[in-house]
Amino acid sequence: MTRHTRIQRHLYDDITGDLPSDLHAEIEEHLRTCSTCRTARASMLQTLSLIHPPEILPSEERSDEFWQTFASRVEQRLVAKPERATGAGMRVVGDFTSLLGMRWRSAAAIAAAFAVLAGVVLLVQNRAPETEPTRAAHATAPASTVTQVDQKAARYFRRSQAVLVGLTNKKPESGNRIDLEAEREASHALAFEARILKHQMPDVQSARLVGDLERIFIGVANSSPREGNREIELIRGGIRQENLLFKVRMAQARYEPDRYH
Amino acid sequence: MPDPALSGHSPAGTGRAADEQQLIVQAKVGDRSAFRCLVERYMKDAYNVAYSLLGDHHSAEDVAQEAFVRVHRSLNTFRGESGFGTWLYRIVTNLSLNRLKQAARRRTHEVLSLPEDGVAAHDASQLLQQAETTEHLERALHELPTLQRAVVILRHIDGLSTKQVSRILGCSEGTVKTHLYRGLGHLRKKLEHLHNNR
Repeated sequence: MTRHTRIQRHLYDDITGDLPSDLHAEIEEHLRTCSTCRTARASMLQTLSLIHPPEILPSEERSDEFWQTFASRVEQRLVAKPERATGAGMRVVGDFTSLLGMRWRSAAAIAAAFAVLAGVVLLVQNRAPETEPTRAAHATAPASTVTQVDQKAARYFRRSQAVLVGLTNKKPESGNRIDLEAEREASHALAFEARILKHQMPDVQSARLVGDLERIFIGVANSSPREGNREIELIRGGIRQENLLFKVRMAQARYEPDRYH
Repeated sequence: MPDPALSGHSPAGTGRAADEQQLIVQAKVGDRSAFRCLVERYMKDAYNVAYSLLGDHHSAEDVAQEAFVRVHRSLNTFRGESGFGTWLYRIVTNLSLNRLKQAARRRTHEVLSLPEDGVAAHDASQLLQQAETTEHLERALHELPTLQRAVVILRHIDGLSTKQVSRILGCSEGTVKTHLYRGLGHLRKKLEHLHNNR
């Protein structure tokens, strides 16, 4: 496996923030010098940005009455289909025996054999959907899920803070122009990440903050150097108005308490 | 996905889990109101998972209801080794995938929409372009091999983690990631012309 292939295999995890920090650093380092992998990453981000949860959940498109009667309809199904295998099997066998004019004992034997066969077929058919996932797979799930999301959020807020500080404090260089090339590139990645992360946040407040950051980063990523400093001043105004740096620091304190206590 | 058994993010998670265990125990011995409580607790989530995979309300309703029927019939075999939600979503997912395999049909899939890019779509041509993009996406997504599609949808439309997806599909996280990687690769190729136009 070439280095590019190996790096590209990890790009998804890197984008979703699931990589250990040393591997993440290695990928960042590689991306700085490799345009092929940079393009692959940008392309994956673009694809991911097109797929996201619906604004309105499908369940919300159904009426209250639909949900009020849902459980009753499940109960009706249970009553309507109390037996699946034997009932149908017996009916079919009954039809055959009447057609062939068999005696009762033969019919009973065939019916029993048929019922066993039908039972086996149904058991095989239904085994996969109704198999309970194993303990090994589930044992550490809730705790690790929380940790994974928290780590992802912590990393996102940390990187966001760095970009926001850069945006807020950068001074004009020669020609009175503020060079935001690095911030623009970082904002591009952070805006795409926000689209996934905001739907994974455990509470509304954090999700809203990620949404606010997404808007700012989209603004920065789309800003044109040709527009001069006017556009960036508007974005800076937005950051100040929304008190975003303070909110991000508060979020960091929440997701990375060890760093702040 | 608001399943405390999966996410552990419910403020009253522990109390709810204990309450759920009680409901399951009661439902196992034939308490209909307990089973009804379980249905009412999970019906919307089950419906949303089915809808995201099937793409139409009628099929989603049918699969969600059938899943609860199967849960009821298999309750005695449920040992609580996984969360009730995980078990239910697994049944919903498998029923949906079986249905997709049986009827490989095209349909309107409303769950995908264009990301808001900070600029409102004011003019008609922009809206038309968005509709076309959405249509391309729906088609591309539904042309993916079944497992790749399921993994991409469960992970990115239903917002489940790879660990949750692996538990629902009964495979390792590595397998989920492989399907994700390949699925996204296929999507990228199918949507290349959209990327170039953006």
